[in-house]
Amino acid sequence: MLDGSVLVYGGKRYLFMAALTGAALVGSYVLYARDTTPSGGTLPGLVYGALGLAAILILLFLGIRKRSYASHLGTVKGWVSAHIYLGLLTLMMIPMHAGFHFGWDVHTLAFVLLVVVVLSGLFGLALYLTVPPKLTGYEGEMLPDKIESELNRIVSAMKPLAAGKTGLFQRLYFEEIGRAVATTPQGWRMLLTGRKPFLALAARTQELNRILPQLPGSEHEAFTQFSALVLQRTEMESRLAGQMRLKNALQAWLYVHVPASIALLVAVGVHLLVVFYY
Amino acid sequence: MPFTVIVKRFPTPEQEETQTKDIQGLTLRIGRGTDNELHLEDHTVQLHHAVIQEVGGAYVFRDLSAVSLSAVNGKRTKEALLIGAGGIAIGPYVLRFSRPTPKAPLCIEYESPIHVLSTSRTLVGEIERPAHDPDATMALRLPNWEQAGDPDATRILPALRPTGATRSDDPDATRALPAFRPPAAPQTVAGVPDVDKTMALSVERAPAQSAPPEPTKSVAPVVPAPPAPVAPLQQTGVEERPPSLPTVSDDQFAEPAFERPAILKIPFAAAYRLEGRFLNKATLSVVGAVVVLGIAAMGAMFDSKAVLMPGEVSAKHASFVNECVRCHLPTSGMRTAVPDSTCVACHKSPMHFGDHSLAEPLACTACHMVHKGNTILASTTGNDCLRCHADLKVTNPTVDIHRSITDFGVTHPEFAVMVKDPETGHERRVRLDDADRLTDQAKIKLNHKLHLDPDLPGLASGPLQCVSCHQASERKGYLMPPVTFDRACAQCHALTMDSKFPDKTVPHGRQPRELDLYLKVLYTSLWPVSDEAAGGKAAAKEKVWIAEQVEKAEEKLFGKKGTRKRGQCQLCHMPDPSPLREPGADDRFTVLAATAIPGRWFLNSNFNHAAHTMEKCIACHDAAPQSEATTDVLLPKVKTCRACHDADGTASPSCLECHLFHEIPKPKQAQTQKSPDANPPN
Repeated sequence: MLDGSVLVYGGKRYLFMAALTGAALVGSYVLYARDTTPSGGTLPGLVYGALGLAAILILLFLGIRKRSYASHLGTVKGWVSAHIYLGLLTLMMIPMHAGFHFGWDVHTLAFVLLVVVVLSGLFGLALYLTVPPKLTGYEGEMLPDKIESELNRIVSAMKPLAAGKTGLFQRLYFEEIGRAVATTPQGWRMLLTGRKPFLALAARTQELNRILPQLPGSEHEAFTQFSALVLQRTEMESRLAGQMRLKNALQAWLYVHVPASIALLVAVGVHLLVVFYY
Repeated sequence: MPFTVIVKRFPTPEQEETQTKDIQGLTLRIGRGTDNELHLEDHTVQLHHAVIQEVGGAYVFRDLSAVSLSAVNGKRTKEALLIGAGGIAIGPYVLRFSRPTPKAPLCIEYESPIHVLSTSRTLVGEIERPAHDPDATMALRLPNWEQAGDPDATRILPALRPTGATRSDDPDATRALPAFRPPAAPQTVAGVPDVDKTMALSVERAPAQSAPPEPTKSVAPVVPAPPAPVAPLQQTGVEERPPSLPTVSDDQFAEPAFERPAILKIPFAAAYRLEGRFLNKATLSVVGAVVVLGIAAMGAMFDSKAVLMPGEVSAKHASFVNECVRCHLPTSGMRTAVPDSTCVACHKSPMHFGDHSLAEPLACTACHMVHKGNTILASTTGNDCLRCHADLKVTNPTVDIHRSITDFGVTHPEFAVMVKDPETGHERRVRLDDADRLTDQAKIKLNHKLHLDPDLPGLASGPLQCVSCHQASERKGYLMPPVTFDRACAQCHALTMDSKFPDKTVPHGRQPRELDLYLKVLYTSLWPVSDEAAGGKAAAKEKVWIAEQVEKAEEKLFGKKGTRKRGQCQLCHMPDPSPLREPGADDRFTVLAATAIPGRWFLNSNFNHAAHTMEKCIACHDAAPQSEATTDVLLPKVKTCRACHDADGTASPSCLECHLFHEIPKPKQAQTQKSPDANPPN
């Protein structure tokens, strides 16, 4: 799973660099803590803080670099690899900067946000290692854009079948239309509950079979065709939902990672402002 | 230079960016992974999708997937020889290859799919936009082709969909059309509406290369292609090898069974999106930033600035926690350091050895940090000491100071005491392991061994013990108070002077000359015969009697002159070799030397006997039971303390266990008593 992944990019160069840096940090901190009481105000404490700040700025720069397609400043994959390991190192640098002192204040808030950012990043990394292979498995099927056009074709094909039919038939048609134009995106609910928003194929079949005897015989043929389209649509929707769920999984963690990063940047600014006052 | 890759991107539909890369090596890797030389960002492209290899001057395309997911010039293939110019379809991409001359590098050109086929949203936009060109929507409705045959083909076909000819009823024409239209093709179909908007977009943005106009539907055939390159870019061809490689069947190009649907309207996929009108990363980022700023602003508004402070204020300073300016002087501006003047305003404490021993005086806040929780500021750690003492910078190298102390258990030097040099009379620093120079110069005679002998008739309570004479101060136990004659010695060494008056004693702490007067007065009061009983002769007898008694008593106390017989005083005291007598003073009496017992041996450290009561005295003062001479210094050495005060021991090895940073008022080095009685403690 890790072959070719960002974790081992460039012959694991960032992994080794991070391991060496981490060892250097621990070693220096042991010496530092042995000779004095660690805190953010001592010279070594300030050095740890400056390192942490530089690391956070470099980490945030990934957001700019990955959008700079024409940039020759390393590859994006290299940046992401370094991003991961540097992010982990910040979890050492910042507590060392603070001398492992925490409290209910804006300074610890900044660290908590950093932890949230790093943990969400690790979660995202886990998703990126596991989800894309599943998504590639959909190569044999239609992709969302094609499913979408196919669904539109199916829905538009329902209309002539339902035209001029009884109320029950037409209500069923409008229900289908209504489902199609859901106003609120279902992505989060689908992710969190893991349930597909539409009924399973079997349940839908039963429902249609239950309705059929209630319709006049003259509409049976049209309703059979209609039912076929409904089931076809149900199946298509399931496929669409399955793919969108995986795609969403690759995006969902960013809804924590990115806002927490911005909040962290602000909190670091507040921290700097305040500590230079106190 | 085997490969030249030209990438075109369209940040906006009107803007075009072109990037050209020359790639060395004999293999060009194509795939979604960023380690590919040709990186195609689409999840329908495999991580390592295909390669183009240069073999003997020719270029061979190989699809690396299990089943072919690529098409060269409209034909699905696992392997193909790239001759002249043509197109390779991979996912939504069309890689146009060309080779102007047989020795030229293979030029591969493609367009980034952004604004062409990226997301469903883009699709919808593309579809809704072209009202002026209704046919433009047709290309986006191609997906229903997959119902006609091989579903894999659907992935290839939209990109490969040929211009105009797709609509043709002529199946042969459909089959003959290549997946990729050479750059010149659009000009050839001028006048015929370009129904494939996607294709048209890519074609129109293709570099204007020298391709002559061709007639409609006259796009170069696929198979067979002449092996020899003719005019580059005019020929589009693929030489299949081997012939058994799969090709796209005619059926796959058949018209769909369903009737052509209406224009796409409903964004089904959008219903499954994460992003909402308000629930998106930008909004959440703004909310996060505002929350942090809000917390900081609220912290600044409250009287208590605890939210902003780097830590809780120490207990003793908590009373003015809201008065920041008490320490952070407004004039100091945005500064971290609190000047010493604010501390000294309340805390007037002597500095370390008067501050003169520090090259750079430490600020109060260097050790006493107020914003570090509800702690006692005086409770610093020994680590603060090591800042300097681990590598002490001594400007005068002749100064006898141990310059590197990092650890009590290892590098702490042997304890040292100040001892007067018998030759010069100056005090000098002597370590406890310097046996030659270490002597107790007290002028007193004390035999510890004799006193601690269990067979010695001791007190009524039993044999003598250390505590019979030495008792720690009741106040915190830090100092061992002086051993006084009255409290420690008088029980056994009562200063009686006459067996006839066993309950009468002379006072301790007087020189013999003073005692002579005392005895005369005493015996005058003890004269047993009244004046009346003496019959008038008593005065003469009394004078004689008193003189005799005083002489006997002084002989007992001071010894007999001219003989070796010693008196009671000389049991402990020794004569002053060079006594100072007032002019005309009576010189019949010996002058006893002042005891000169050190008031405090360790001047720069504190020792609490009360904290060590779990141990017997001789556990540390182990030489005491064998000591017979007063000159023996019975202080415990550093190794004795290390038995417990070690990093691995049961007691703390911190510097502050014994030392203080701030100079403490020191007692006089040696209490030179006028009286032999004022024996100071250890």
